[in-house]
Amino acid sequence: MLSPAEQPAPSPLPSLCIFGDSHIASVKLALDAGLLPYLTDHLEFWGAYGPAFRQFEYQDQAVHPRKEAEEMVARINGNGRLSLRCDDFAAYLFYGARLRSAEFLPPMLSTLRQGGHLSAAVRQRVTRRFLEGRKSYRIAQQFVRANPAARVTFAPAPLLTLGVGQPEKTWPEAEGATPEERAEIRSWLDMEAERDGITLLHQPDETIVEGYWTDPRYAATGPESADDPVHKSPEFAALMLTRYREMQAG
Amino acid sequence: MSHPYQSLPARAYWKTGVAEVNPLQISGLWQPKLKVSPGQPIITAGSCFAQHIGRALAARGFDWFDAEPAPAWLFDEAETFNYGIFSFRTGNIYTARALLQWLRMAYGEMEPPEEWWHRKGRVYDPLRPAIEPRGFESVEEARASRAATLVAIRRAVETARLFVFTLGLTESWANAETGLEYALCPGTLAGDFDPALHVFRNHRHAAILADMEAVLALLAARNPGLEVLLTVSPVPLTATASGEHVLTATSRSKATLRAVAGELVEDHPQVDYFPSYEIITHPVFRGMFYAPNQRSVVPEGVEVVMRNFFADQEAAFGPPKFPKARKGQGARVRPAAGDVKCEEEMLNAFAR
Repeated sequence: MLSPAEQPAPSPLPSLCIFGDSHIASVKLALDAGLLPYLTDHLEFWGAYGPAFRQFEYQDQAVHPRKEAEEMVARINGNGRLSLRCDDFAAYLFYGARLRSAEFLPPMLSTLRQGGHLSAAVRQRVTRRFLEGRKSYRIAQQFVRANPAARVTFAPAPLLTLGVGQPEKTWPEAEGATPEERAEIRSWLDMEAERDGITLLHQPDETIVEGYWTDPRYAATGPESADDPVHKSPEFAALMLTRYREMQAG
Repeated sequence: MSHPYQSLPARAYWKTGVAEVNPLQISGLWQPKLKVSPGQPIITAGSCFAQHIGRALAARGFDWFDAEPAPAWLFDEAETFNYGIFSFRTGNIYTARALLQWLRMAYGEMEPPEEWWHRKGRVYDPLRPAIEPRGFESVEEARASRAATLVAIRRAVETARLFVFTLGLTESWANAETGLEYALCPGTLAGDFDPALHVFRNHRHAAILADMEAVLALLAARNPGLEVLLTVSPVPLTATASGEHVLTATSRSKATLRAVAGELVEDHPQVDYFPSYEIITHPVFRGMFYAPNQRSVVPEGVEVVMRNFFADQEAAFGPPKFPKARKGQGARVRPAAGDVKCEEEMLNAFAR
């Protein structure tokens, strides 16, 4: 058996667009710091942060920013691509993009760890509502429908960082949840996303502590991030993109 | 010559308690011995009418405890899956025997039955056949779901300070071999009716009393501080299998349940009875709280019932004192707010 170093490198993607909100900043920082694995010769970012992220519309097989978001999109993309078509790239990675693991995993863990049970019918409903409740996920669905050849992957925003900031709600019953318990809930998401032709890229288990928190080692590092439990470090992004490359290698 | 009737209050005389009073102003129908306090976890179970009581208590800021809450993201579909209807996901519990079965299963005194009903490739729990609108996808799923409800029943019993239980029916169907009592007649919502296997039971007073005594003993053993407030459902039978007219069968059924409730109150200091049944059904109220079908209770009736409930509580114990919400505490749990769920209505689908 070949060691990891001896294994052939996965073929690069012809082109990749990383679409997202403020979470893509950590990916860009990781790229600039040389932390990312080699993915493709043609990598672009596309998105917006803050309220501007809500100013997107899907029309004619492309995402278009409304006037208020145009400048930000142009700045983030840097290649003059104001609209993002479903066939502009071979692969799309939706990163963060308001689909927050912290809004789904902890409450579901809490339910299951208190002896609760969700029937398949209930599981499907809650999972669908979580996924399709976000415009970004619906855009991902549209991309797949319009361009079945594209590889569409969605990396939900990671869990909140332990000990950073003041989360509005905690889930004491989810404390100490095991990887197996998390895997069960993620399998519900994977099953529904697969039906949509979308692959989910989950937060690696080794970055999770105490059942449902992100390890503070991966806390955001920039200025004004001392009380930010949401965003993560470039090292975290590098880990995510490494997993992404492995997934693409199949 | 003096006699005991000389010093009775106005409510003790028909003339002053009823005849001279507008029916909507009749007061003092209940002299509660149990104080229902805000902050005291209250659980509800029983027949359809118990759902009204849970909702009314929660709406007024009392601490209705949901031991099997709907998962996040189910939102307005929670009620469809029978979350938030009662304190645990049993669906309606119409008889004392059914309540006893649930409690015994929850505490390992009865092996959960491995009898399952099937329909169109789906699996139904004979103890709560309407709990999932399309049934379960497998026996394993149905079994796991029921196990979760048994956990919730234990949590409810051990957390609550007050258990409000509405006695609904005396008529039921059971498995002749195992004795298991079903929630509904097999073949109505799911399953296949087998006249050799499925037997009709019209529980008599003594049997219901014995079942309720067993219920109270089990509750006291698991939570000595738990008080029990009984009501009798004013909702008439949808159908009777007794051979009687449904009207007379209803009278017999309700009279039996009412008698059992009264005796339990006399014999147990921790048991009380609230007369919602009388408020809705008594001729004094001229049937005004029933919908035109003379069966469903209109919201105004529920409102009058609950107004009496809180007025009688206040008359006995003074105004309720609500604890201040602590910082960070969310909104109080509320039962689902839609139409009352009544599986017995399933029988209507088979009515001529």
